[in-house]
Amino acid sequence: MKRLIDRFIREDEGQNLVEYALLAGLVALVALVTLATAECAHEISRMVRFLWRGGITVGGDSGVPAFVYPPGEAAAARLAAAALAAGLIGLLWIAHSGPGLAMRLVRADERLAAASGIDVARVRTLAFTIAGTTAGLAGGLLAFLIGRASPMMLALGSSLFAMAIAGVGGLGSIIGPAAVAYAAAAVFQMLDIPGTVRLPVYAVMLIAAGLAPSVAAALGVARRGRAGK
Amino acid sequence: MIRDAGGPAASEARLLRVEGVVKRFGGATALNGLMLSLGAGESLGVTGPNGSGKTTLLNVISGVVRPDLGRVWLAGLDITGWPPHLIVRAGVARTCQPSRLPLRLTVEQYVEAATLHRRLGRFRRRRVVNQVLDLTGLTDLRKRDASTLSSGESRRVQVGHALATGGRLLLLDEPFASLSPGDAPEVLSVLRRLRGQGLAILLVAHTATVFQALCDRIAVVEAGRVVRTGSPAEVLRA
Repeated sequence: MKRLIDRFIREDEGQNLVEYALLAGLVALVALVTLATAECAHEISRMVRFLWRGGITVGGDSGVPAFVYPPGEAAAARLAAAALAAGLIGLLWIAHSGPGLAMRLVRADERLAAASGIDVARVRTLAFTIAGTTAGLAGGLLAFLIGRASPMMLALGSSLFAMAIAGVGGLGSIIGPAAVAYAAAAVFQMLDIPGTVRLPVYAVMLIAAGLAPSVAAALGVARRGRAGK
Repeated sequence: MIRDAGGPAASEARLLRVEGVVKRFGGATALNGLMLSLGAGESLGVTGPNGSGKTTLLNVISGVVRPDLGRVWLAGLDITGWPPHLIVRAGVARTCQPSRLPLRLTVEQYVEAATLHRRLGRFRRRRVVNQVLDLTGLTDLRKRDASTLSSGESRRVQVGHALATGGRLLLLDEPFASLSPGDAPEVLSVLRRLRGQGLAILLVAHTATVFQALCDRIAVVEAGRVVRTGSPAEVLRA
């Protein structure tokens, strides 16, 4: 099996529709397993409860208490805005550095990246490390702002929100998703939209983001057709 | 009989030696004990009918394909089966067709990407990029989106990208294929300049004028073996 996979990866000549279909199926399987693993971890973390010092039970939906810092909503908003700005500056700096260029190359074309002397596996690990660290820092900050760390922080709504803003803001972009996240969260807050209504909105955003390239391509073809007549 | 394209100087220290390489894809044998060698600064043209194994030879040398048998040596170092990025770092550069995905890189960034593995400082990297752009005649296009270039400009960017890796040996797979008649002289002029700078070149092509303009020797490959070798005049006369 290992030899078969190895041969499939190495030999790029004579690829046909079946091989591309297998590849697409593999990608879909990996995506499904990733999403299912996250959801399983979430559910398991909701079940786990344990005794805290002094006989207090913590865990489950109520999570682990953390001290709230800073006190007051205005100060918390200022701190969140400052952390967002610092995060954006840091990520933009990485994106425009040598490693950032290597990551863009690996994402676009692994063969071209390897022909540039870039170790694709190492760059991928670096990208996951940076993404994981950033998400971890953001989660840590959120725990301090709301006063607890709980599995409910990453419920289905939050996961869908992240996917929707990444889709609408643009995959591979830094400013786009950040701006869309800020704007969408502000609109939801101002209009006081309940969580049950937000879920279909996220789904519509995701579908729109998925369809946008096809619609743009179709409009482009129609425009070129009219210009050609 | 397996023949060596190394010529009279084959016994000397060679930059590249391909020894008895065999590569099979399912039931088809693409390379069948192929042997050739190339000296530093030498330019070798490889030609032959379609399906004779020319591109597979380049894929084996650059690590894209692992041979079933045989060895590939670069300056005395056995690089058989190394991953492509390590072979690039060892000094083998290869032109690579850019992706059709929206990479949105300028010509300058495209060339700079090939210098990342060299751990140069910021200023040295800039200097290398400027030298490569100058050598390939791309200085005026440095801020252009690489996906908007003409076929000839795009081919020069590919050569520039390969050069920026800092390789001693440049592998070129049909560098004049699908070029317009107006673009071909530009690319030829760049390759002539590289040859003049002492870079070793292994070039797969079909055109006699290209071999006469660029190559010291030609190796004719048929059914995965070198069947004839000699100067362009000798081989083209035959």
